[in-house]
Amino acid sequence: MKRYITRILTSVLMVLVCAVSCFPVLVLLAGSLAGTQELSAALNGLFADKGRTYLVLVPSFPTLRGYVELLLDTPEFYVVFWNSVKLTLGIVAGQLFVAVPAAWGFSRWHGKLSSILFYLYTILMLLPFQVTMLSSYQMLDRLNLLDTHAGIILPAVFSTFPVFLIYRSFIGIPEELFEAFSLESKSEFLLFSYIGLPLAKQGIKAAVLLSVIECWNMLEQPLLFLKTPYLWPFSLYIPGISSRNVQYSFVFSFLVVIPVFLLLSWGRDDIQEGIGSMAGAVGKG
Amino acid sequence: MKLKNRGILVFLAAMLLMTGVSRAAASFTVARVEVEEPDSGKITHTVTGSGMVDNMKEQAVYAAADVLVAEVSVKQGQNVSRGDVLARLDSDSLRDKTDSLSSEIEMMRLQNMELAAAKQKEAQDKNRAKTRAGEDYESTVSEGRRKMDEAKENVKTAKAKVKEAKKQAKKQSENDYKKKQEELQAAVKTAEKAYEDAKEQEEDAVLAAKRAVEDAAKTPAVSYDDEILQMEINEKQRELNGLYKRKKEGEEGLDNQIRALEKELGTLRLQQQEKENTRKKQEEERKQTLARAQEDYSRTVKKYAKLVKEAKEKLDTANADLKKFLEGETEDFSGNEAVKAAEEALTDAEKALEEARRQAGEEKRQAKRNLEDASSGNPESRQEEMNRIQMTEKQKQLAMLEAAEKNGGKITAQMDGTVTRIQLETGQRTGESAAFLMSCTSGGMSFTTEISREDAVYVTAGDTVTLMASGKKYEELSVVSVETDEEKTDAVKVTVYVPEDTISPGEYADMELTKTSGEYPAILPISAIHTENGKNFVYVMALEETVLGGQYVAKCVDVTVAERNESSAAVTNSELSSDSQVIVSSDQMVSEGERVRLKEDVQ
Repeated sequence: MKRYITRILTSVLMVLVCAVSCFPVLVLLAGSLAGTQELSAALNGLFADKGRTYLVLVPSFPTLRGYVELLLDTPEFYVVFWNSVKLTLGIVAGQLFVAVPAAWGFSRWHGKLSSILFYLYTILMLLPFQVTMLSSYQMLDRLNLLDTHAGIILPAVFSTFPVFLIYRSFIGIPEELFEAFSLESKSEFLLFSYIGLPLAKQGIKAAVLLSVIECWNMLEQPLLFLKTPYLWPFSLYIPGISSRNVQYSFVFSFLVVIPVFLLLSWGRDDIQEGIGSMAGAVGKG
Repeated sequence: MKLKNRGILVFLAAMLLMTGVSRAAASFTVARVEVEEPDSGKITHTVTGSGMVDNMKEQAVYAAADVLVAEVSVKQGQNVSRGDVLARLDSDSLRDKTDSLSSEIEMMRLQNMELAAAKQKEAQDKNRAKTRAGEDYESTVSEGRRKMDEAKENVKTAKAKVKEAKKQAKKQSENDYKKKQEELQAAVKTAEKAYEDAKEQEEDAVLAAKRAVEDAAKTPAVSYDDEILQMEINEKQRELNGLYKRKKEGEEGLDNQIRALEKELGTLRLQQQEKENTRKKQEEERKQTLARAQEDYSRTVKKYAKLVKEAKEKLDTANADLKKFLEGETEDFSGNEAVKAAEEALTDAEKALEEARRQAGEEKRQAKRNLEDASSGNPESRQEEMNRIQMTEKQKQLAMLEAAEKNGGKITAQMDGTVTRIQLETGQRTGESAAFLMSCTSGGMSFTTEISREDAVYVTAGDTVTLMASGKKYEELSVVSVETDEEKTDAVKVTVYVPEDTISPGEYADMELTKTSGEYPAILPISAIHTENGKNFVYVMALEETVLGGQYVAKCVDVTVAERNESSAAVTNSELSSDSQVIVSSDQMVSEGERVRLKEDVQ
């Protein structure tokens, strides 16, 4: 009985925590269905610096007008959307190409130098963007990559975070498998291809999904490196919210959440297993 | 593939489809425009008018006013031919006057722009004030209503409290009533009992006193002792008498008997005396006792009558109180403190309601007055209109000055005739009135028509016109005079010299005069000019980097219109260059920053 009550209470607490986590998305959805006038009145304190502000959770006069206007009458939305897709896919593809072999190298190369290098890698991972911002800008300028998508994609391809994540998956593979394979073949590439990649697939998938989330919401690099509006991702385009276009902003924000939501629902199990396998590797390490 | 795996692909496919749909839909909303580049050119003004041909009367020849006369070339009565110089104006003075007039016209134009902007601002301020006054009125009314509702609520609450207090008081008073009634009834009963007791006591006391009186009044029972004693005394006396007689008779030895008898008789007499005394004493005592008993009786009667009366009075009072209480029972709460306090609170609340009502009415009245004041229109300023009229007049004078300047300052005769009057003097300034009066000697006629003041700016004496009458065209006819009609302030009379044997007198004709301005660097179609707040501007199609890439958008450029006719306008002082793409027409309303596309793209 006690266990049952404890379970119920725990479930209720979890539901509450989830509700709080989901609350911003619900607010976005409700706001996207409310009319501009209703939202302007609700957020009056925000725009006018006086008066009260409250969130519209249940619109009094729901309307799909914002969706119609955005989806049918705003080609700018699609430009920035596809820019974001392009940047994300480019970065993720590049990271797969670069980070996976790098992680494999770190996992297979044991030694003092490897440790030092990996230690440096970890420090680089912890550095915020603002620290490397100026040097990145100068480098891109010299390479004539400013105001191009390549200037965003290339630095992100060599990001350290996916290396770190995938490395954890690789070191989780039992050494015995490698020894067993070495009896068959001495090729490191074949070892990587037939043993390393398949067994670390979950971790790689998790790293990819986390990268997708990070790149989809990228703001600082485009803000700094992209001047031409035609190249902007949606994070730069969401217009300054004012009382005149507040519904438009809500609809826009909700629509760009959908791809991430779909992706996570597709890869949720993989993320969990990937992070779990990394945790196991950490335990072994 | 699982549904969730397909979800993202379906979403991306849908977004791809919507990209195309959105582009197609947006293309319908983009304004299609026609553009032109500003080109240099001239503004042509065509003035038309209809009138009648009549015999030539004495014609006035006007000169530009307030200009120094350099030379008067003719004399009064002199015959002159068409084109002869009648007088010459000083060129410097002419130039100064031209510049001065141009400046004045420019100042008036700027003043009008300022007035228009001020008017616009005033209208905006007025609207704002009206809106605010309206909002204040609404808020005052609603606040007043709220305060009154609050006061009414307070009155209602106070009334309820009074009712409650009275109810409580009544409840209390009912209890008190019952209690009082019981008390009074008890008091009546007590008084009755007291009365009964008093009466009973009176009866008993009176009876007792009466009995005492009766007892006191009772005579003692007849006692025969005295008779017996008297008999004995009489007997003894007789005996004694007898003895005396006997003694007298001389019987002896009777002394002892006589003495004994006398003694006995004395004793008996003493006894009798004693008894008499006792009887008297007893009588006196009896009388005294009777008197006392009577007195006691009277006193008792009085006392108990008084007591009974008092008891009766008390009983009557108690009865009266009870009756009064029962009959005159009213809800008198004047003694109840709670009811009093509640009634005072009600009075205060009613006063507050009245005050709130009065105040709300006052504030509403004030707010309404403010709203009416804000809504009332200010007397319309005619300054702009007056400026415009003056500007037109000055432009007419300027046109005359420019024509004279163009002619080298010469005033020429527009027809063959005789100078009948000269109003000019060398070295003096020209006036508003006619410089010369001429009578026609050639037998020509005059065509007169009326044109508007605005058109009159472009017509000066000496201009050539074309007349069309009876299907024929007569060109190169001279304008003899341009006069302001004193009766009609917005009409100007133009007189044209019609040579003999061209148009018959009395015939109607149509006049057409074409005047071309000087060269302007930028001429645009009139449809390209927009006006707002007294300022003129045009829209220029400019390439702008947007999220959709390089897009053409409409940009607003302020311009100054130097001259315009029905179809074109000459612009100056603008940022327009020769390759600016000025939007001259659009299939939709265009505003600053809006995307546009060329009409020819559709084709």
